[in-house]
Amino acid sequence: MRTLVLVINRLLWFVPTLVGLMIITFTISHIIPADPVAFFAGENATNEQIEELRARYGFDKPLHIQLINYLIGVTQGDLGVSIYTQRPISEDLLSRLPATMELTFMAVLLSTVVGIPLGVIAAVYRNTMFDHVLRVITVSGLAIASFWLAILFQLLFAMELQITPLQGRIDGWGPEVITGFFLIDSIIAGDLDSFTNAAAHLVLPTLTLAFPAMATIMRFTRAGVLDAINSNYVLYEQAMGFPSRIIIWKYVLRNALIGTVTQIGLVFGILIAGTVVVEAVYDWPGLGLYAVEAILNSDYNAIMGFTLITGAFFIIINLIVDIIQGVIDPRN
Amino acid sequence: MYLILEQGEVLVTDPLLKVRELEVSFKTDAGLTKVLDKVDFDILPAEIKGLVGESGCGKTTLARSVLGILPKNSAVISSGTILFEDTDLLKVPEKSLANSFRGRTVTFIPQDPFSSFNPFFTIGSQMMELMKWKSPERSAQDTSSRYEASRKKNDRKRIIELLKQVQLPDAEGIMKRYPHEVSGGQRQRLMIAMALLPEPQMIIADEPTTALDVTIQAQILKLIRNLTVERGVSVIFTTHDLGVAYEICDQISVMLDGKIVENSDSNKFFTNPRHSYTKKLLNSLPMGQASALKKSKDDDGPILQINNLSKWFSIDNVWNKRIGWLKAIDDVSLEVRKGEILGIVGESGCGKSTLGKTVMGIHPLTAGQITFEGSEIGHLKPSEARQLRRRLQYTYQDPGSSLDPRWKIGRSLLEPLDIHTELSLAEKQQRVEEILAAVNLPKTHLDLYPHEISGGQQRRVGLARILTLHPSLVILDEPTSGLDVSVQATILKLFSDLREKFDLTYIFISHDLSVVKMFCNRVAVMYFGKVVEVNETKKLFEKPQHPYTKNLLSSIPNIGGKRVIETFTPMGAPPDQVEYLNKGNNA
Repeated sequence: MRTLVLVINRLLWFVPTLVGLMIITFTISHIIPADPVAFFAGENATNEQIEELRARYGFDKPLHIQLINYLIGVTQGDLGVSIYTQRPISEDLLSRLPATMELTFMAVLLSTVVGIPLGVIAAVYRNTMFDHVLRVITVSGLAIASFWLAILFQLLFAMELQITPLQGRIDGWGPEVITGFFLIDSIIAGDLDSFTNAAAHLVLPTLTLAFPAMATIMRFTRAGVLDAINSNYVLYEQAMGFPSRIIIWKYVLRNALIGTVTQIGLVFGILIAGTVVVEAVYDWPGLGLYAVEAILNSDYNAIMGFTLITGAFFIIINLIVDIIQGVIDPRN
Repeated sequence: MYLILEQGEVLVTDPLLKVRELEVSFKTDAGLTKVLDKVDFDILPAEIKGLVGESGCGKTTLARSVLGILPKNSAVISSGTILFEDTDLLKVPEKSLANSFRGRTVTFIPQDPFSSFNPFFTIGSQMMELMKWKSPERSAQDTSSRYEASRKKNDRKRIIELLKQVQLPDAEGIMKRYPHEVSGGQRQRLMIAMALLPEPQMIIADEPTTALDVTIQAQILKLIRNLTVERGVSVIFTTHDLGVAYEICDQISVMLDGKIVENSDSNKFFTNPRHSYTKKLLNSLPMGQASALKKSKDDDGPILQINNLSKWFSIDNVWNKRIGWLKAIDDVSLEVRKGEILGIVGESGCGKSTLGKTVMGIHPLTAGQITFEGSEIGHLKPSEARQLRRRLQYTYQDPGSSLDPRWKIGRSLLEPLDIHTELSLAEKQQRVEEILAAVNLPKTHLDLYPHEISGGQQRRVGLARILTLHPSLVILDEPTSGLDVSVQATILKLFSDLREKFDLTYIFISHDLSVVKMFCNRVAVMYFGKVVEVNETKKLFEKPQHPYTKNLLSSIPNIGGKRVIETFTPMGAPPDQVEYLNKGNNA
């Protein structure tokens, strides 16, 4: 019942949040002194031609009218047309969304699967050499800029050792698109070569993206476990001689996960932002790369579309996180 | 060593547990601090042995040493032996201690049953987890994590059987619930059941009734005593409460500064204490005579008058729509006379703290009037109330915790004067110094931070902070709870000195009836949101009128008298404080 109320409550806020997000993005992107029309029209265009183009895209109208027109379009499922690719934004986004999703989910999976156990072990062996080494790694994970790490990875693994591809998502055309996730599509198609090829391409971008996220998740898990280890119920379980592996991995971890799960939700946000950089370095044909191009070209509709879709994604992820928390913690 | 059997036979027997010359230290920033100093401690089979002492004396450390659960990083066992049936536990590897000793041969009842349950798992699943590893059916050598269906079934039966024995009737229902969904008394019953489930030879109970109300305490003590005597299980029972020790123990060991200073039979202990510390402990007990404090000088009339006061809390459904009321205070009328100490007693949840906070305006009242020094204060706006608040003060359980850790004591003491008065700085400083002297603290403390002084001194500073405004009425909310008896005696003495000096009236909110009996002129008894009885302390304790008062008084351990666990009978179901609104009726 509580969960249902929570979901409905969040859904009620879904639209206002997105509208707010749209207004902010719209304002910021239009304040930047750039003229996409002049850029698009080319150097030899006459003033009349530019004005005509401006009128065609509605850029001649006052800003607030443009915004309202855009929002009206969105409610009808029309995200406008990219002045750069000349295709509907929604088509562009949909074709690129799976690439980013695949990368993001793999990064979350990796950072969770590695980060949580490492966090637990760091807490259990706190202030030992193991803990100190992990701390150094996590601090660097948070401190190193992803584009720099990406380049280092490329130099080491792709250039020097030559065990991974340098960039791109797959060699050749890839499997027939069903879900858009190459790993899944290649399994469906029974195409083992595509699968290993796609997986090999995923390694470096995933590592780059997952590294800071893993550091965050590890620190939070460690803190949560330390908190729980000092609780009375752990003392009781020890006094009653429960096996220590059960105390740590069943009872303590459950408590620690509450903080970690919240963090995973937020990490999704960091990762989506991270894809912008990582996709650019690895030439990954996803939303991040699209967003970079959109911003460089002042392609307003594309910027808005990217913001809208990532914003919605982020809200949905955090809703799911809240529901999971409700399941983990019976007290609310 | 001998054991007297029921038929009068005398059986020579060896101790079950022999602790010899045990020395335990803790690593601190200042080096090693010795917590146990050459401790010798014995317990016979089927004996209930009290380990009595004030906080910090080492009783918990001794109990944990026996269980082998001292903090690994900070505790150092430098010498001694812990012999359990001739096995030195200090030489047994941790793995086999955990597997076949802890939770099997020796079990544990914790002080706080609420936080000792894992909040995320149902009670039943935690009991089954215990049985998975510690069921009497499982071999002590077994280290596998198998749990056969047949054993599971038998273990479940055992649990349900034992839950009945600890008087939890709806066993199946309780097992499905989470720890926060059952009451404090029920949780401690569950802990007792869990301690008995593995059929241990010894139970270590660490202050198991300290967190409980006194009527619940009487029932829990009775349960522990009966069930362990029935099964011939030894019990090490640590407590700071001599009354509790009197109720349940056969033998008593007194600890002071990491040493055991007296071992004695519990009857002799109370009639004929030998060690000077034991005598001091017994003397500082708030026992015997009712308050000998002088009463209000003349009848100056009431300083505070409460008429038909109600404080109801709204119960909302998930849509934030009101579906009922929790009547925390319901139609209470009470008069506080100038210069007196009025005790308000009752068990947790009875509304005594809510009453104090409603009078202070911390909770807005639902209905009724509060008249303080002749003016109505119950319906004032916060700004109007501010002037009055100076004369009416409230302290939390630990007034020291209200000090800002980043402020020097002097600044904390000046702050109320800055807010409420127009005095010059010199006048303010003079007043602060006067007050500090009154709570027996040196002037030099003004330049210290709270963490640089002891907890007891922090309490004094907290009190001084209230007194700088020269209040006439101070509400003391559980001011002695959690204190050792000797500290408690000192702080009560301070309250009564300050009352003389500053002409104060006190409302003394407490769950501890023996303190109230010693300290208050009059006592009001609260029961589920209502004041059921108000009377002079002496009359109330000698001739209680209301059945609840009678019941409450009959549950207090009475050292030297008949044991409460033999005489006390709990009352029936309490009245319901919650009133649900009818559907469609949005009154």
